[in-house]
Amino acid sequence: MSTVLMIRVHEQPGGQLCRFKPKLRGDETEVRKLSVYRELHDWIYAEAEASDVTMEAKGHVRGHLGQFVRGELIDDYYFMKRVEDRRFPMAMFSHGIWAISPRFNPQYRFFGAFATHDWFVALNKQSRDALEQSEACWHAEIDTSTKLWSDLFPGRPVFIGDTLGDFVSNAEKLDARW
Amino acid sequence: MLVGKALSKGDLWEEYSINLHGAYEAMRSAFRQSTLTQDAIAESLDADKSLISRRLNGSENLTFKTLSFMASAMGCRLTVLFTPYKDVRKRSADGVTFRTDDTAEVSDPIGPLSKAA
Repeated sequence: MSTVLMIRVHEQPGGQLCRFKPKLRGDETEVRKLSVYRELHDWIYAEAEASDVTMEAKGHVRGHLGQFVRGELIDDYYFMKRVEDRRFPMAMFSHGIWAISPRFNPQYRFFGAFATHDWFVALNKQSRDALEQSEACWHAEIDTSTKLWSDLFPGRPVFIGDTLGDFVSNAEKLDARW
Repeated sequence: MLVGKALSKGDLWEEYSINLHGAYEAMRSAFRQSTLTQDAIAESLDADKSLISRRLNGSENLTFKTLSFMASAMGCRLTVLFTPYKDVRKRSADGVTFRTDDTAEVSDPIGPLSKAA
């Protein structure tokens, strides 16, 4: 079974993934697809007893993720970037894990991987403040993403490309590490 | 019709983020289309280049004053439009939203991009 078919199974009611569906206005459509781990999806939309600061942060998260889905111009540095695994300098990006970076404070990073071109699966998140404590924190999130991916898609590798265009359409290449 | 309908806090904050992002993208688009450097803008505003860099890469929170100062440094005037949801159009690759009739009239907060004489 292909990864995409497995995503569709996981997105069934009660499944472990949810499709992120921003509010689309006018002629906006779902240009790119974003599947989100259910626990993460619940956090993004949970509003009960949340403070204004938390509500604002989640609003920025939804707004940022919505850019991806609407097919807006994004880039591989500020919007989302490949996460370096500095434990293995010769294979920095072979794990295929990316981090989406909502830019407004308080900041969070959303880790995950591409299932195919223009289809990202967001699996776990961490606050930017926590990640700044050490490189090990980043590596822990890479490991969490990799584990969740393996559990969701046994035997199916993450999508890997050679260029930014292999991963995503309408994207500006700013990352000099390609 | 939305008039009189209670809006959730979540929807308000999400729209705020989208609007803020639109302003940010308009600023970046104007900068790309200008021939100015960050140094030149910093000099115009008597500001540190690192501040201009942070504004353009999105790591500095935007205020209306910041947008206005940046616009002035790029020889632009801000134009704010309230676009009904039904008329919202997909953003083009350069971050500019086009109107229904595709006349390429910008609806972003930063208006004409040509520099003042």
